[in-house]
Amino acid sequence: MKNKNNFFIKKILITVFCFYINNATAEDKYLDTKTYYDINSKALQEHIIPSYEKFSTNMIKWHNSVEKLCKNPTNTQLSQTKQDFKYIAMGFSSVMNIGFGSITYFDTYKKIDFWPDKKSFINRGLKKILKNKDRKLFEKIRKGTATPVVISFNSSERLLFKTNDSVIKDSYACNLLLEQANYFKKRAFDVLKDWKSSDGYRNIFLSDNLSDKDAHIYSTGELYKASMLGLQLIADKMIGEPLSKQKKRGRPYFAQYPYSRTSKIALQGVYDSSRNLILNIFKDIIVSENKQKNYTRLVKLFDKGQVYIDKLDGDIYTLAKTEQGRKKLEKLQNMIILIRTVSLRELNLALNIPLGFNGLDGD
Amino acid sequence: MLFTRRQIIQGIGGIACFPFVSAFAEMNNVKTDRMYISGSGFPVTSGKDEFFVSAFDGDGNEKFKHKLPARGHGLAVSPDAKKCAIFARRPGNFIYLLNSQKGLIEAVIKSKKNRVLYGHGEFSPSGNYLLSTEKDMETGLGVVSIRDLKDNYKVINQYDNFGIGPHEMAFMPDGKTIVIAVGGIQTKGRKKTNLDTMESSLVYIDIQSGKIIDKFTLEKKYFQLSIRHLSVSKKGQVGAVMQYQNNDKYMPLVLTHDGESVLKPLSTPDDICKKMNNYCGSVCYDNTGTYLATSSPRSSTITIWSSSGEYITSFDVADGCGVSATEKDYTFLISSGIGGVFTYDVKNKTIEELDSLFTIAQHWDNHLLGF
Repeated sequence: MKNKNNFFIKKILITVFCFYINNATAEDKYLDTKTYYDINSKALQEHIIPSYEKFSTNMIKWHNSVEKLCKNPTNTQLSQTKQDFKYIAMGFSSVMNIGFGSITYFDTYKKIDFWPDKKSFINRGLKKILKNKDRKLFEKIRKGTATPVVISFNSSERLLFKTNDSVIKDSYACNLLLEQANYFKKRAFDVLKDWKSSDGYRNIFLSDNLSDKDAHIYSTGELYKASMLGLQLIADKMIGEPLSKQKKRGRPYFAQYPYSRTSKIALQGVYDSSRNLILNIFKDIIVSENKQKNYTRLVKLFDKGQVYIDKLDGDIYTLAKTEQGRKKLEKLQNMIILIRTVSLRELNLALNIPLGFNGLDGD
Repeated sequence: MLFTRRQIIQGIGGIACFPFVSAFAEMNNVKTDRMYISGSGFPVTSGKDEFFVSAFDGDGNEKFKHKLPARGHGLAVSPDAKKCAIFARRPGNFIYLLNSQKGLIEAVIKSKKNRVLYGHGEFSPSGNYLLSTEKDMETGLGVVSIRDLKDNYKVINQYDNFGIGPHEMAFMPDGKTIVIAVGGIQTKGRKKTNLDTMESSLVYIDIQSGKIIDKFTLEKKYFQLSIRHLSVSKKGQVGAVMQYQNNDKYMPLVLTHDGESVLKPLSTPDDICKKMNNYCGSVCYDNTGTYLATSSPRSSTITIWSSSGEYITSFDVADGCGVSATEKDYTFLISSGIGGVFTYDVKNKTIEELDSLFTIAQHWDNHLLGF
């Protein structure tokens, strides 16, 4: 299988570079402002806003589920709410790689996506909170000033899956979960509103002033980074962390959403988001460089990556416990690294926006 | 429909590349005991400020990888190839000395008080000393420190009074002379403070006496070109690349020096000047000294020159910067800051990537050294 993989890598990489060498022309590689504007405009309409709509819709669904649980704390509803945790994985994964815009204000991004929690910060904090049952904490959550111990997806997951069922059905714990869900719902709505409003970040991202070329290049650069960040997240964090080392009895460290078993859903979401950015939003610029073949190759690479994702017969946390599962994850990880590298190259040359060590800050 | 490797190569040099022809190609990896070393790190998008010194063989297989406290930059290898070193990026304070065969760290050498390392250095021909370009923080002037590898890496001497901002240095084939690319730029941290008055030069120093044998500067009209990197051919020709410290026009950035009294950039086609985008990051002669490869990572451009000073060709390697000779004649290895290492054969005009996940997954910093 290793040979087969190498063969595939070889096939893709060499042909990509065959093209480059034939096309080493001396024309001005800088694109005109309108091209960058069109990319950004398309991204806003076909990627950013739909992604935040998805995030917002899923957070509403999650909130509704927790609300039902608190009103009717039965075993059946608890079981349903546990299943509904998938809305968090589905919702946040669609925007997880968009590391710019109002999601980053007040460190919201870092707080709600607080993982890997290498010092069990959330676990230790939650224990104290559940013991003290301090209701003033709810006010902090509403204001968004609380720590990730209470306003993070990991915290919600731990509350729901790692706390005794009788505790979660208790009014304080359930209300804490509901306050969290309410916070997520509100943040998702606010960020979506900001992207849609002409007074919000939308206006910074997509200025109508075409004379400010740098601003448009900057926004395209953010998109470029977002597409790479998604693949990076999958390779280094979502797969890389649980593969990096294991606790005793084969328990992997630091998988995302380990207790709800929704890590594969999250991985798929990030993959889809990166795929849409690279293959849809950047399609015109790749193809306009007379690289239809390169584009087709990228499509094939993403398809191949999807095949590897489909072969994951379980969530990442579970798979990382077994030798066979780890092999599947490693194979996917390698494929993602390959996709990332090839995509980076394509876009680096097509957009002329440096995103490498040397072009950004050489010596 | 099958293709021979030769047909494929001809195809590449010709009009277009048949899709997936490489599926039938043999890899052109440099299958030898040769080893390559470079600084590396995580992708910029990862936001991880973690840096490494990494080594691989001619097939791209990992030989070793060690974490560094900050970005590494230039590299050097001892004459017997048993030791290698990576110097901290300017302004830095460490040199990692490694056993190249075992891949172990032998020592971490710190810069002296009031000195910062300027990114490059060399082993002496005897292998007993390690030289490094540095800045004296009190005077602001450049120095080359000489450390005794057999006496606890003590600085035993220094060369100075040759100018501001020494960067890459190399030994001439006589083993008695060093040549230094003196950038001419005064800095505070990484901020440039004397761009209106800067003077760059190539300085030759006799290592026994420490005396400056010669100092060559650029014609006045090129005063804002900063000579930063150089390579010495087996015949003693010096190839150097520069960075233009202004944005008012596109300037030629490559020069060769064979004793001429005034340094002058090589004649460069206008379109190539523009393509190089006023910035070169690395330079290297091939194994025979016939060709010179330069990198311009800000525009993802590699250029090839003959030792007689003619521009030969250029091609794109996304964020390509590290260039090294391979042991095969007329062939270079090029590393990319966004992943991947490539061989380029000047005669056949072919570029191929090392078929290795290790080299694809690493993001390679400015320089690459093969030995």
